[in-house]
Amino acid sequence: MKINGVFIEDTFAEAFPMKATRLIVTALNETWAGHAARAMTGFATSVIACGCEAGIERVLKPSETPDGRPGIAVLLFAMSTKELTKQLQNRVGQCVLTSPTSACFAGLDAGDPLPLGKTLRYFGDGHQIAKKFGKTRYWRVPVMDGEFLVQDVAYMSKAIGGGNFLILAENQAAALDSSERAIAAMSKVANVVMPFPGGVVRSGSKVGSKYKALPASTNHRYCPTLKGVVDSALSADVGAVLEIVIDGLDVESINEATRVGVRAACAPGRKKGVIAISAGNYGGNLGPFHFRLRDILR
Amino acid sequence: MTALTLTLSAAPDFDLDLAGVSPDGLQGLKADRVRRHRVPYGRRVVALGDFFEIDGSPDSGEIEIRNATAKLTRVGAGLAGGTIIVKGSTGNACGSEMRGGALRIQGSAGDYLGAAMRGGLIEVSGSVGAFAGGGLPGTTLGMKNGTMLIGGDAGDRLGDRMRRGLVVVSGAAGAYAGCNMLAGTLVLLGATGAGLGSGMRRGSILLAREPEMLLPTFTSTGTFNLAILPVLTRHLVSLKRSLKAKLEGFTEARRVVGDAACGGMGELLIAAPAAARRTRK
Repeated sequence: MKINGVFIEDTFAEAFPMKATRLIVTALNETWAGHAARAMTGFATSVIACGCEAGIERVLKPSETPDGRPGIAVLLFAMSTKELTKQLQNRVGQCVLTSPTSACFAGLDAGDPLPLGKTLRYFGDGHQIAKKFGKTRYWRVPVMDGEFLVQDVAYMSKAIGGGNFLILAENQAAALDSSERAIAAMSKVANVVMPFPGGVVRSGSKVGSKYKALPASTNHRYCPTLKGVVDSALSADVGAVLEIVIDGLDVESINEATRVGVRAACAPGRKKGVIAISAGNYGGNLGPFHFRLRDILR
Repeated sequence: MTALTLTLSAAPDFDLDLAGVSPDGLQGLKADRVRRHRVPYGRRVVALGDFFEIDGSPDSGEIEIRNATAKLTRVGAGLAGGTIIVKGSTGNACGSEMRGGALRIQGSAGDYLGAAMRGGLIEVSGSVGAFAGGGLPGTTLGMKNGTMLIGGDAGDRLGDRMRRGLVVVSGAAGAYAGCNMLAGTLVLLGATGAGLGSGMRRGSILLAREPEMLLPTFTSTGTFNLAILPVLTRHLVSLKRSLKAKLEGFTEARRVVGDAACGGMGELLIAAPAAARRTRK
């Protein structure tokens, strides 16, 4: 199978069950909503060492937010409810509560509740005020620029982490151009985030290491500088590989993100140095979710 | 299945207590049995059929009371689910101790509307008497939850001893609104009377215009952009679309805290002038 001369390998991405929540962060303007959202989704590229994976899902119009102000929808993914709860409290507490004019709301309407304002309210030191409208409870916490408004609970959903595909190109520039096109297209897909910097990861990893202390190490089979030294997965003409990791709320959303991402990545074509699209897996024995590239692109 | 309709055919001389006349209270009864349903009437007990022409089924989850007068008391009292629609005005204690469902009165209501209610929605197109959302005589707490939308004016001591819940008054509120409030939210879009928030411990009273007078135990903290205001506005508009024009632009308010004589944790949120001007149109 080829798209614009780019070979699509007959392989699959192997993904894992996760727990996720969506938050809506609003502020007086989009700039400050962005500051808060970027801060809270910072250092959240991989659960290997960050505790969670998170990213900005999309920018919201004022008409789409609970308080009618500009907002950002963010998604947080973790391996357990306990870790998601901890990350949620730490990140909202340190990055959104602290950000001028911000407010924070649940972005999912149903699921298991996760404490949000329920715990953050204590920052108000007894001056916090609860307001319950309908079935939704909010907390108003006095802060130095006025009030921080936060919903009492967020809601948790089952999710999938680790959807991915690899872009094999002649050189770094071609791989990066292809990746940027993929991310631009994928950022329009709902229910997914690409948690790495700019949505792209260059240090794809394998499980384990020769050093016992490390849980993961470089995926040497995809490192072009090791061709000829190791059992490389790369052909002679591949000079750079970049990976796009996708975390999503459901299988359909990851399928859609993969579909539009791979198609956009292939748009420059073989003539512009994009050689092949592959995917990362562990032989299919570890993760229950398999995203077969050719089935998705058919 | 058509709604159960009760059309008042004989004018009662005394209070006719309709507390049990609700979709859940009459569930499963056929029209004949509903006619024989006993209700307190003054010092006596009478059959519903003595005063009403009855049609439809209570199993529809909806009851419509037509030609209502102020002699019909405790309509929807204790209601747990379903809807009661009243065409005409009602007497005292309607919707008191409600737990759920909806009571919609297309007219006015007497005193103690929604007193001690614990849930559900009460909507009155006209004016209501004293102690709406307050406590019943002999009790220590006012409404504990639920929503009340009053299209006209409210009498004295609105939300007296209110513990939780939301009350909106589109017209004027009488004296001592929010008196002894413990928590909850009053939204007053018209004029307010004397003693506003007197003795309130916590809770919020949102005002679309400056109050006629403020108690000396209230202190202004300044004008603020508060994210809770548009959230509340959206919630109210989702309940009653006509409130949109009155509440649009209500994003900034002057925060006045009090009653300092009772801890000072309550607040009056007075719409900033721009929003207030729009509301007065």
